[in-house]
Amino acid sequence: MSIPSTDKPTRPLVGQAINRITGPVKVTGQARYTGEQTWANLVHGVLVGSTIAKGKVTGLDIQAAEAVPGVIGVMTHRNRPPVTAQPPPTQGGGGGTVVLPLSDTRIHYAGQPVALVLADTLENATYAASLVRVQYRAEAANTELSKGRVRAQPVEESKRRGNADAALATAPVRIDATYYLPIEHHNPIEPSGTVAIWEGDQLTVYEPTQWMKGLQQALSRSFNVPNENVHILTSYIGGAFGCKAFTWPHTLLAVAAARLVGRPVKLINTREHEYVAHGYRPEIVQHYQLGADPEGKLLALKVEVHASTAETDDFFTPQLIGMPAMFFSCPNVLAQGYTVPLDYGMPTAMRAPGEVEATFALSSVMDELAVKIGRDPLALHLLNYAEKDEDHNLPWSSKELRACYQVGAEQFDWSKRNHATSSMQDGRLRVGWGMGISAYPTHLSPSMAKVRYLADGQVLVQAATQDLGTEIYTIIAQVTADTLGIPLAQVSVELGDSSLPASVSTGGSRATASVLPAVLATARTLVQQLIALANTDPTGPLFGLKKDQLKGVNGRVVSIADPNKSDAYTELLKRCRLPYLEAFGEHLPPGMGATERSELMAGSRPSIGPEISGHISYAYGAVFVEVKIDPFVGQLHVTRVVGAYDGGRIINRKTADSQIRGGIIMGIGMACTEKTVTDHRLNRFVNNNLADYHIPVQADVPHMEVHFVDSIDKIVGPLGSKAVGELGINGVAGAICNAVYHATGKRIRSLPITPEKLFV
Amino acid sequence: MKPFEYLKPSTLTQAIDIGRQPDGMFVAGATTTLDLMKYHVWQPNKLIDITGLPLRGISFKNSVLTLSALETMTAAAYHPAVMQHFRVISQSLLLAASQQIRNVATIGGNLLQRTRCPYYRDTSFRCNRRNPGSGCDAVLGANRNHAILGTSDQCIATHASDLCVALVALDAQVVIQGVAGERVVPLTQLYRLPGAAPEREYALLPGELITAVRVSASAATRSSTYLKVRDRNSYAFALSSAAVGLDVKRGVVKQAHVALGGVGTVPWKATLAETYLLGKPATREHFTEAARLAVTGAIPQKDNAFKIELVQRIIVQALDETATSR
Amino acid sequence: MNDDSNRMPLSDLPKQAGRRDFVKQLSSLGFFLVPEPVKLPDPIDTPALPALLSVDHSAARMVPVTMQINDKTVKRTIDARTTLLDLLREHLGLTGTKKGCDHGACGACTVHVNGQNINSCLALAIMHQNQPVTTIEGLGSPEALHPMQAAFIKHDGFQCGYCTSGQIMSAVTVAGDGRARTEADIRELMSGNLCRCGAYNGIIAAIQSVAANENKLETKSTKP
Repeated sequence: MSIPSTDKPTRPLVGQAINRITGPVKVTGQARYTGEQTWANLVHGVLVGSTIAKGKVTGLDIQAAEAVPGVIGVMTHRNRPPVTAQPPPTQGGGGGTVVLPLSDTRIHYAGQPVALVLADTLENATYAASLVRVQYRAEAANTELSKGRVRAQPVEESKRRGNADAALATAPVRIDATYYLPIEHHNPIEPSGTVAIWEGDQLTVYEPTQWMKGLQQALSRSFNVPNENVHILTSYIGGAFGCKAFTWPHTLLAVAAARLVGRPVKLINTREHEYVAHGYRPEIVQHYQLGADPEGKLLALKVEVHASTAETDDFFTPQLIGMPAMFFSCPNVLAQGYTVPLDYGMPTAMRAPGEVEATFALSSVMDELAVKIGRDPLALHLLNYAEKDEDHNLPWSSKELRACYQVGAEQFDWSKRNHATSSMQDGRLRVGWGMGISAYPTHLSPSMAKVRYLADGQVLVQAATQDLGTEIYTIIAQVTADTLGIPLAQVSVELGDSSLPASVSTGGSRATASVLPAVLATARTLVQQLIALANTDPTGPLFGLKKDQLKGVNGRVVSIADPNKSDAYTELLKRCRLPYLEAFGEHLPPGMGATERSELMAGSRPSIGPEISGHISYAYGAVFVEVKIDPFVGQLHVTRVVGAYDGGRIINRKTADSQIRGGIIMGIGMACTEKTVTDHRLNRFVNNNLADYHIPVQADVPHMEVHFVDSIDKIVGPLGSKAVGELGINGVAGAICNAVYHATGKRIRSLPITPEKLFV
Repeated sequence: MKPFEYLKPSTLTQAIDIGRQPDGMFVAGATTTLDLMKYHVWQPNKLIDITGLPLRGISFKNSVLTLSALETMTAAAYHPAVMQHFRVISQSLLLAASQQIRNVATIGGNLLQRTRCPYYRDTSFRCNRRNPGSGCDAVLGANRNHAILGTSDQCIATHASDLCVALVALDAQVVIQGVAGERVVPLTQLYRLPGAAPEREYALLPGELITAVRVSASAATRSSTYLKVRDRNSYAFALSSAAVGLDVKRGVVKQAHVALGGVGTVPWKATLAETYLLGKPATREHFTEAARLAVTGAIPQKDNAFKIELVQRIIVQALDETATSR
Repeated sequence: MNDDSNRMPLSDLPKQAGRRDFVKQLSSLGFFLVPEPVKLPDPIDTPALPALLSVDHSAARMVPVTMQINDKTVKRTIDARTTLLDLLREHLGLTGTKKGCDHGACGACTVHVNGQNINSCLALAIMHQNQPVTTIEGLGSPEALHPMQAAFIKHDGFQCGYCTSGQIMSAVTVAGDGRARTEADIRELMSGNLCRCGAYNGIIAAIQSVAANENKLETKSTKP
């Protein structure tokens, strides 16, 4: 997808607030997403999911479905073409699903596909799918975490320093609190889906994937064709938040079905199927114990986390124990995780997996301590500020959290807070102020890029990464335009095609810090190539000058000694009769080399972070929240949010600001409204739609202010960017619960904060 | 969706004639109909589009408001007479659904809005309302959103409408046209409690069409409030709601309207509360007692005992706001 | 159809040994005790299958329709079940209108019919013949943006872009019909358009700027 960019005059473009270059096509409906790809002879697929959570399919009647005019076939375990099982991501593979769909009659979770109906139109396929009749032999299943806890298994890695138990036993002040988080779903507005086309043994797949190189590799292995035969196209992605990062059943089935019927197949998940299609945030219980001195200095921190997983495989996000081990200065720490197997499909990463649950608990428990000893929670955060990473005993790569606290508190007017509970009112409404913390580790992966300078002055940048809507398109154009000294409008960016130079998955907030250094390196290489062309062209004004006597400035090669002597790139190429000049480049994070380069190209995900070059690198934030509550009927409004963030160098203030706001709003949803409801008798989700699963709507959104504190992290890379995408959601739920406590004296430890929890 | 034959009658007589046949279904705004047809909950062989019928217009004459069946929720909500004389109706409409839905959903259709019970809406669950005699998965299921009033062991599904709560509170009458001509009945009589036959939701005969709803204005309809508590601040069904209207003279209640939403299997007229309030001083103490009476006979389900408390608080607050806003 | 699973070729399931091996390994270290097997409820009967009452195997009813879309008359013969949304996306190539939930719960499919914003997923095409329909494509183009489209870019009222067409169609109505007088009014009237990226503040700013230009807003501040 090639997008011409718009212009902005001043330099450098990096650091400015710049309109997203995808704007014009997105606001006019011209941007084409996966479901909008049309092919001749297209077949529409509709999935039928299991209505039991565990057991066997004992009968499958597809006659009525097959009899519907327009139906081309029904794919079941009886006729599905071969698909090779892939290791799941927890075991180093790219397959999000552990259950290979339509392999046999065994049912592992409700919603597991049992048939795929294929027809000439969506209407016919949908109706026919309703006519598939399945008989099951159901077995006892369990989706209740409390019941499943007897089978909890400890996670291998734990966090341990000092002696937390001993320190707790003798601590003058102790807090013991357990925090509950329900299952949540990503719910991007664009459902996942696949358009699969086989031409011989060449496979083309349109899919809104967060990791096109990973999907390419997974499909190559699953369908036993060479990697280069698989072409992934990801034009635009309508939101993802983690659920589109790995390979899930609908994709494998669409590709298998296209092989079965010998025609292109389009399979777009229904919204209801989205809830069982590609993971969810698991249910999580965190038991926190704090020991502190009377001033609030931490002496001990003990954390026990139980997280639900699927019976079929373990899934545990290590940051659930990593965050409590790193965030505060504390001599005695013990953090242990446990997985609890339940009869669900596999959970997966959802925005800030591990971090957001932990920052909810950490923000809450620190407030509980502040209340207990009668101090300002902000003072406690500063008192327990970690000057180094005590978990790894390494220095931070950069840390401007103190500035975040300061800027956030100032902009919020935190100093005007009366710390007594129920002390602030607005008419009938109780007012509460609370604060929370945010941190997110820097992740770096190798990336490649190609930059092409055309003789007409247009520049094309290419990389096989993808844009979730965070607008990496624009920041690539900014870096390129700055490096080449050309207007932003001359730069086009092409992403979303697996045949382009290998680049990163969009997950773990790594894209900016990983891709931009590659673009920067490649653009610099291109400038060097232009210089080399200029001083070797005998007809040019700079012929014969040495390379180190020349530099690229504003679209020209210029003599350093005599700036009046210069050669415009466009003139240079025309004179040399070159239609374009292009450079291919890469950036490898510290410590990476040829092995990681080939891993990247093959579709694996070499990654480092938060430990980078002997430092620990995190992005940080502090968030301050005001709530107004009608305690009589339990109505809660978040009325004001101020956040201050250290994400390293901010490339585009406009799009970074929007990412943070989006995270904060998702945090408001987590605190106030979001919960996937399971019927634990039938072991099925029952609010599997956007009317009953409540993501925040416009009326839930408060006045918000986002501030970035200046920080350029020299350790993480040449641009100094850390992470932004998953920073904003952190700490919001904790800050809201703390504000609710401040307003009402009610400590909410179980989310979401539904009205009945607020009755006073 | 199952294939259907699309018919668009141009006269009421035609429509009723086609509608009498068992495999037909009327459709107007289509917001509920298409929703349930897509889930295969409803599978009519004939879809009878009644939007060509002359059932439009909102009038206010001799203190009687008439909302014709095909008027949209938006048109009714912003109509000057509705806003002035029937505040609770306007509020209930504007707190319902989304602007997009209100722009097409009709008054007639809203009176027949179906439950949001997830076990009704997914055909793979057991549901007596959808599939008589099959059982009810909601009773032992996730039932936080279900009813506490008017339930039976066959069905605990909540009536989903906001508008109907306001209309029932204000003693609206519904105008029904059928083969035998027109009949006018109190709106409360349109709704059937589930009892042993939850599939019989409405007291309508085959082919009968709702043509209008009528409400009389009074001091108590002008001084009225719809208070709705929901799980997010907009675009959500009521967890619980109350529609109230009060005529208070010299501090004493002369007339009272109270109905509840989100808690009943039908829009719940709180007659005991209304009767109790008559002649009583308009004080919080009496409002609290009225609220207690309003939930007489409430039976909580596994997950929704809080609704008994919540809806009482909503009633008290709505009465309080109404009494003090005059 | 009877159970024929015995004669089905069963593919290998992926290895599930990971957890168990892991458990063994940890237990051998004496790290924790192997827990008692969980007591689970008795097996649940498969719910009775609803009977297939009068399955209609007849083909879809094809019907001719005449639509007025973006000031053009369009004639097609379509399946009577076709929604306005699917007509636009699958038959007319007007894919700017998005499908997010197909049940009127997200607003991504919002278009104007008779000048009002509606969910095109909850509308049958055949029921909206000869009514003026405007989609995002009828509002403006990249070269000639509608003021609301330009305002969405300026105020960053979107990220992924998938809800954006619907947001803009509703925003045009809200900014233009004069019903929203306060920011709270706008927020309420725009609540039928979900945005998971959370671009809500930019959307409000865009609407306010356009409405201010059209003098449709008395004030920007929220009424008490």
